[in-house]
Amino acid sequence: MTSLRHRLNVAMLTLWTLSACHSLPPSQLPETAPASNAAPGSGAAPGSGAVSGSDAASGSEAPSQPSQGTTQPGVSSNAAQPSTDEQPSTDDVPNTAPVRIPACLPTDNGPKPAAKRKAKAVVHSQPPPTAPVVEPLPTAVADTGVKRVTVPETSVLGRKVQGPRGDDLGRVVDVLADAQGRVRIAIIEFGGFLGVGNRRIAVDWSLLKFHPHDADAPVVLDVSRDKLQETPEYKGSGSPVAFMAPEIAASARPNTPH
Amino acid sequence: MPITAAPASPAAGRALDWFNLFVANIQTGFGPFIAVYLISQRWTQTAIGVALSIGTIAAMASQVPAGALVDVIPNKTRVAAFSVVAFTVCALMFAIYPIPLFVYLAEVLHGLSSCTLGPATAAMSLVIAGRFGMAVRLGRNARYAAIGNGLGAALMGACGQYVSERAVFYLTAALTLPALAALLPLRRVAIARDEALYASVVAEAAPRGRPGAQLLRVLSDRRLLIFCACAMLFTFANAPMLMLMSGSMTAKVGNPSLLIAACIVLPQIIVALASPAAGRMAEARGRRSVLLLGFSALPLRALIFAASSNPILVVAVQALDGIGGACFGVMMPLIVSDVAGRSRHFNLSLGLIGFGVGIGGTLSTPAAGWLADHFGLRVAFYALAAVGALAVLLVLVAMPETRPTRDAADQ
Repeated sequence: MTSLRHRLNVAMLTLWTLSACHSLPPSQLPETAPASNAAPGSGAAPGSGAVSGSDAASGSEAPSQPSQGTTQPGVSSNAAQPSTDEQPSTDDVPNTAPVRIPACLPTDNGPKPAAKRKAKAVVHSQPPPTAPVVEPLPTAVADTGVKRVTVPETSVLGRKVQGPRGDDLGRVVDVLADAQGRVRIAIIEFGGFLGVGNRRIAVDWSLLKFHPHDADAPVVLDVSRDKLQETPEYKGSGSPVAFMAPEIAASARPNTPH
Repeated sequence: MPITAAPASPAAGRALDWFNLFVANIQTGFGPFIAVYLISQRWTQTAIGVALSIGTIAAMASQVPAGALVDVIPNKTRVAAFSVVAFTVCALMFAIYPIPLFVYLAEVLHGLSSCTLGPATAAMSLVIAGRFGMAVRLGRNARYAAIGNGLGAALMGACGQYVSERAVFYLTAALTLPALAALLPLRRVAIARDEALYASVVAEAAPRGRPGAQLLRVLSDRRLLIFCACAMLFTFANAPMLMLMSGSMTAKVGNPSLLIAACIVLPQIIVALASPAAGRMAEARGRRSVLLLGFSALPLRALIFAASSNPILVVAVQALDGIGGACFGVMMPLIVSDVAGRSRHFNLSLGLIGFGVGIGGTLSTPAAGWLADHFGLRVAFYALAAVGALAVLLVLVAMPETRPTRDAADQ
């Protein structure tokens, strides 16, 4: 019963995000990642918070200045940092919609009129009133957004997974993050025939090796078939996850490599 | 009786064979493979779940209305053609533009047209073969559908493996063309004979002007309701079996794609071989005995699965699935045609049974999965065996024989 309700909720949510996603042009998609990154950065340390605050101030003062782009490295370095604090994301609702947007990712395969993008940019400037701190970020985000679009490797969903000898292990079907928003676990689906008999397992994120130069190359999971079969099936995020860890003491392992 | 007097023309019969084969081919691509395809299109799990749920709900919701719709459209061949064209559209929507809106639309369209196609095919069979040739005709239908399923699984499995997931849907769309071509020779035959059937039905039917009353009579027919319950129980026990088994095989054997393919294709071979015999047996010994035989294979299979998961044994035991599938696949339209074939609610009655079957299949997979998660695979198989045994018991105790006797047919 509860699962049914959950499913209904999920359905509603997805329909909602669907509509949200259709109303937003695809160029807005990239914004989600930078926004969440930047926000945590501001909360991570007083110093960085001040930096982002100043960014915000300058951004709000002269959003149209191209020179603003030069200040951006600060932001992008923030983004590169592991973010440990997610507070800001909780108080602005719009954030949750973008995060869900991967559901609609295929949308941006289609050609989109440029006019719409501009219209969206206008729409985008509206959210700031809710939180002054967030306001500057969108302008910075617009720049990072463009860069992001050129780097397709952000799409991990659906990526093929290969074993150590190049054998086909399946596809990444989901990515799980912990409470701090750090990506911890990839869900991989493998086996089966025409969709019958598939099996899912959870794998520690650090076990996946990405090709350094080819973003579309399959991810490599360097483990034996025996290890794959030892790992219990993944039953959905509602239940406790048993996952394939790099070593046995999974919980005691050092911090994720930043 | 114009319905039974004229023998089926061989050409029309062959055309119907081909049509069944290609339709089964087409339907293979729309099964669980859709989830695999959407994953490759970078859909999230949530969105895939929504898409599949929409498809399920659409198929369930349109069973009964689609049956009623087919009842009022005199030309069943045209219904079948439209359904196949709808499949073409669905496959192309999946292949060309897999965005949520189109995928959801395609799911709804596919659910609806599946619900019109099944009854339309059965109605065409009834028109071509007549009431007393129906059992043999349905046996042939099931044979060619099984061949189509097996070929489709092999073809599309290879296509997904060696070409791309997307190519499977282009292949599906392409296969709708021969299906339409197979309908061409049926066009004139079906129309001509349908008019005869229709005239005879109208002449024989209970006083017109109270269609609601007649509808109520058909739907409250005890035989139909009991069979609906039997079918629901059977599907409930049958649907999750392969999923459970193949899931555990994937856990044991590294990459069991070939084994699972064997588990899917072997039963289809058995169905192709056994269906005509099931049809003949239903004519010679009655519907009940065929139902009992087919339903009994199910709990037996569940018990063997519970006892052993040796891959070779599992594939061998899948032959029982073929026997159950052959018997059920032939008996379902046959019993409905016995009960409602001469009323004007044949398709509606088929839709009702389809609805029951759909409910059984939809509820059972999560239920069996839950049992397997909490109590282990073995308990889940025992439970499925119990439900299957219940279906056998219900047939044994409550299901009356529906085979029409030639002298009683005019009653």
